[in-house]
Amino acid sequence: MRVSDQMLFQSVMVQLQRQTDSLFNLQEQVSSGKRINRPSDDPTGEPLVLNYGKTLATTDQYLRNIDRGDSLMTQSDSTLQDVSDQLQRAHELAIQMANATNSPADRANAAKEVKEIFGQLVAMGNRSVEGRYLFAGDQTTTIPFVDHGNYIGTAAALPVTITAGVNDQLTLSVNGVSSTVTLPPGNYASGNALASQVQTTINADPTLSTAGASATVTFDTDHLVVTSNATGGTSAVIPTGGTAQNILGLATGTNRPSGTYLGDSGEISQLIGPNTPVIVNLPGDRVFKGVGVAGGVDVFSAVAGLQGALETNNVAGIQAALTNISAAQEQVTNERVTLGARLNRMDATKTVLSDFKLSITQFKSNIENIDLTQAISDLSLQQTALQATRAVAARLIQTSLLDFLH
Amino acid sequence: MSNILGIFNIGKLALFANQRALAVTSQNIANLNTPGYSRQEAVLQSTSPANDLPGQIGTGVQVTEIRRVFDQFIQTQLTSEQSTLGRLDVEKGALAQVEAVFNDAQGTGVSQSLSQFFSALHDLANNPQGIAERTALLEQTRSLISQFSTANNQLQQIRKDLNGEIQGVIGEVNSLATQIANLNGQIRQAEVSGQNANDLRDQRDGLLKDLSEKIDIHTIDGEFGQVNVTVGQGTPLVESKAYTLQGVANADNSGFVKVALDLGTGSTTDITSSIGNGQLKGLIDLRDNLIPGYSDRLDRLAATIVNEVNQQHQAGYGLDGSTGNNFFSPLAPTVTGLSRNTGSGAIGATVNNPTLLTFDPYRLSFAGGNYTIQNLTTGASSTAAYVNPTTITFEGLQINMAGAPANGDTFEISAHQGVAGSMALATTDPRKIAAASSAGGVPGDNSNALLLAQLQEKGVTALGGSTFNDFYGQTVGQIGSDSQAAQHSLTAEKVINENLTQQRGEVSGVSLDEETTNLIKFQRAFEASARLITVADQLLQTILDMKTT
Repeated sequence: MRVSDQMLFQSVMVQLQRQTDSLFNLQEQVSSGKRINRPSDDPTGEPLVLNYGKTLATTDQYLRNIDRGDSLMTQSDSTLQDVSDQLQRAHELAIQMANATNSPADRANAAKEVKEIFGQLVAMGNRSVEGRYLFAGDQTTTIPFVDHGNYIGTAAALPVTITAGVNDQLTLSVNGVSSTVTLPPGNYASGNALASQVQTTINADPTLSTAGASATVTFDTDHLVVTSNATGGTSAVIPTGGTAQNILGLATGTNRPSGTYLGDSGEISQLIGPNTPVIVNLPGDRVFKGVGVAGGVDVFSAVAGLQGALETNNVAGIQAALTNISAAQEQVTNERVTLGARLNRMDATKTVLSDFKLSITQFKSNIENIDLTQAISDLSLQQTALQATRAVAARLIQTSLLDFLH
Repeated sequence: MSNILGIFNIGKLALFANQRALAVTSQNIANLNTPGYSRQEAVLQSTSPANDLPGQIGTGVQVTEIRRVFDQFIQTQLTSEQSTLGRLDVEKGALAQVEAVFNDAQGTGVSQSLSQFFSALHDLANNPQGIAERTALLEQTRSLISQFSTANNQLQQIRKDLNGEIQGVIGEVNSLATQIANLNGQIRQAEVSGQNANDLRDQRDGLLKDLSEKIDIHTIDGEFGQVNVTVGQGTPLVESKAYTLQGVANADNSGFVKVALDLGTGSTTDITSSIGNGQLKGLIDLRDNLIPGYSDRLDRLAATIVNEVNQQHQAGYGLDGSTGNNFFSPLAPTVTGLSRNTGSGAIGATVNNPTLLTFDPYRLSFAGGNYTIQNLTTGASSTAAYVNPTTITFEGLQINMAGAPANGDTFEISAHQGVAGSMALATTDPRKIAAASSAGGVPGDNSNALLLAQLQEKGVTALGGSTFNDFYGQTVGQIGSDSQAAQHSLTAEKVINENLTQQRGEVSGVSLDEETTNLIKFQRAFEASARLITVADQLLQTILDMKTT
C-alpha cells in the first residue's frame, strides 16, 4: 500500500482526536457523577430518569401530606383524650352527687366544678393548629363552639325611638334567670348608642344582677348581639317578650346557647397516594353533638344537664345526666378509635412510601449515575492509550528519508 | 542513423526530460500539504527509434504527458459522501442545541416545574384556607409558564438561526457554483489544445466536494473536460455558466425562506422539496419538520395542561365564593389563512366544548359553494353548503365562517398552536383559586384542590392516554434518540469519509520519501545525461584531432 504523508498525518490526527474525545466524555461523566448528561446519552434511560424523578417528587409530597395529616390527627387525638378525661371527671362527680348523703351545698359546689368542665370542653372543641380549628369541619376559620351564650338579633331599623309606656319593655332570660327591663325613652340614630343603652339597662336590673347574670350588647353591622357574660352550660340569652322586642330586632333572632356548633359536617381528605384520600379531621358536630352517629348525644347538653341538675339539687336529673355522660364518653371514645385507625393507616403508608422512595432512588441512581470505580479506571485506561498514541505519533512523524541524505 | 550528433541529441533530450521530471517532482513536494492535490507524474517515453544496421537504434527520451494520478471512482464517492456528512453535521449540531432546551438533568426544566406545580396544588389541598399556599401556587404556576415559554422561545430561536444558516449556505452555493463555472472555462481553454489541466481539475474537484457538502449534486462530464452540475431533480446549477439559488421568503411558513433556482428565464423554480442531502437538506428538515415536531409536542402538552386544569378549576369555588373561573387564560385557537387565498372569508375559531378537544390540526377549505372541515390526523371530515355566515361545531371547536371565501381558499386551524409560548394565569388573586367544591365561603373544603392535584396522575386522551409527565418524558426520549442517531450516523459517516480520504491518499497523495527518491533518481539521470554530452563532445574532439594530425 502506498502511504502518502497526508494520510500519515491525517490518521495520527484522527486517532488523537478520537481518543481525546472519549477522554473528554469520561471526564464529563466523572466530574458530574452522571452517566446521562443529556437525553442523547441514553434516549431510553432519560425518560425513565425523568419518570423516577417525578415519582420521587410525588412520593416526597405524599410523605409531606402524611406529616401534615399526622399532625392534625395527633392534635385531634390528644384533644379527645383531654375531652375523655374531663368527661370522666364529670362522670365521677355525677356518681358521687347522686348519692343521697350529699347536701344541696355539696351539689352547688359540684355544679361550679361541672361549669368549669363545661368551659374546658368548649375550649377543647375550639382548639386550633396553625390557625385552623380542628373541629369546625370545613369552616376551618370559624371558631366552632359558642362559649358565651348569645342571641343574634335581626335588622333593627335605625333610628329607633323608645317611647315611655309604649315600647320600652323587654323581657329576657339570662342564664335561665328571667326579668323584664324598662328602657328609658329616647331616639337612637346610632346602633352603638342603642347597644350601649340596652346593655346598661339589662345590667342595672336588680333581679338579674342579684342572680349574677349580666350581658354585653354590641351592634354588628345592622343588628344587635346580646351576649351573656357567663360561660358554662347555662350561659344563654333569650329574649322572651316585651314591647321593645320588635323594634330592637330581638323577636326573631337566633338563639345560641353556650355549646352551639358553628362549624359544618365537612370531612377533609388528604392524598397519601395516587387516588388514595384519607379523611384527616373529625367534624365537631359528629364528635361533640352526635350528629350522624347512631344514638348520638350532645356532649355539651349532657354536661349542661348535669350542671343544671346539681344547681337545682335534682337527684333524678343527676341520674339522667349520668346516663347521657356515659353515652358521651362512649361517643368520644368511638371517634378516637376511628381516628386511631386512620393514624395507623397513615403510619403504615409512611413506612411503605419511605421504602418505595429508597428503591426508586436506587433505580434512578442505577440508570443515571456512573459506577465511579469503573469510570475512573476507564479514564486512566483512556489516558494511557492517549499517551501511547502520542508517543507513537511523535516517532512516526519525526523522520523521513531526508534525515539520511547528505 | 547513429552518429555522434545522435548521442548529443539523446543527451539533450535526456537533460530536458529529467529536468521536466524534476520540475514535476518539485511541484509534488511543494504541494505535499495542499488539500485535494493529486500527485502528478511525468510520463517518460523513448522517442521513435531510427532504423539502422544491425537493428533499430534509439533516439532518446521525451515526456509525453504530465499525468495526474487519480481515481475518478473514489473521487465521485468522496464527493457524494460529503453531502451526507454535511447533512449529518448540521443535524448533530442543531439537535445538540435542542437537547439543551430539554435537558432536565441539571434540575431546571419543564419536568421539574411540572412536579413543583403539582406539589403546590397538594400543599393547597393540605391547607386550602392558606393565602401563603395560594400565593405559592401562583408563583409555581408562573415558573411553569416561564419554563414553557423559555423552551418555546429557544426552539423558535433555533429555527430562526437555522433559517439564517440556510440563507448563508445559499450564498456559499452560489459562490461555489460561480467558481466551478469559471474553472470549467479555464479547463476548457487548456484542454481544447490537448493539455492536461491537472491543477485546475484538482481545484475544481475540491470545489465540487465543497459544493456537495452544501447540497446534493450530480455531475455530468461534458467535452473538453467540462463538468455540468445539477441539483434536486436534475435542475441545472452549472452548465457553461452558473445559475443562482435564491432564498425566497415563504408567507405560509412563518416567512422562512424556500430555496429557488433562478434559471434566468424571468421566473424561479422552487427546489426546496427536491433537495435530498447536504447541509441544505439537513437545515430545511430541522427547521420545517424536526423542530416544529418537538415544538408541537410542547404546545400540545401546554394546551392539555391549560385545558384539564381549567375544566377542573371551573368546577370549584374560591375563598371569595366565586366559581366558574379559569385558572389559566383560556385556549384561543389559531386560524391561519394560506397566502394564496383570494377570497374575503373571515374565519374565527373558539373552544366550544373543552372535553371534546383532540388537539389535532384541522383544515378548512372552500370549493364549489361548499366548505369542508377536516381533521388532518384522523382524516375525519364534514362537508356542507356554505352560507354567509355559517357557524359549526367540530370536535370541541366552534368555527365561525363569514364573508366571501373564494374557491380553493384554505385555512389551517389549531387549538394548541403556540400555547407553550402564550400560557398565562387567568387571575392573580389568590382568593380566587378554587380549592373548594362546595358553594363559596367554606375555607376548609379542599376537595377541588385534591381533584386538581390528582390531574398529575391522569391519562389524557389528547396525549395518547399518557400523563403530562410521561408525555414530556416521551418527548425528551424522542429528542434524545434523534440526537443520538444523528451523532452515531455522523461518526459512521466520518469513518466512511476517512476511509475514502485514505484510499484517495493511497492513489493521489504525495509521499515525501517517494518524491525524495525520485528527486535523487532524476538528479542522477540528469547528471548522467550531462555526462553523455561531455562524452559526445570528447568523441567529436577526438575526430577533429584526427584531422589536424
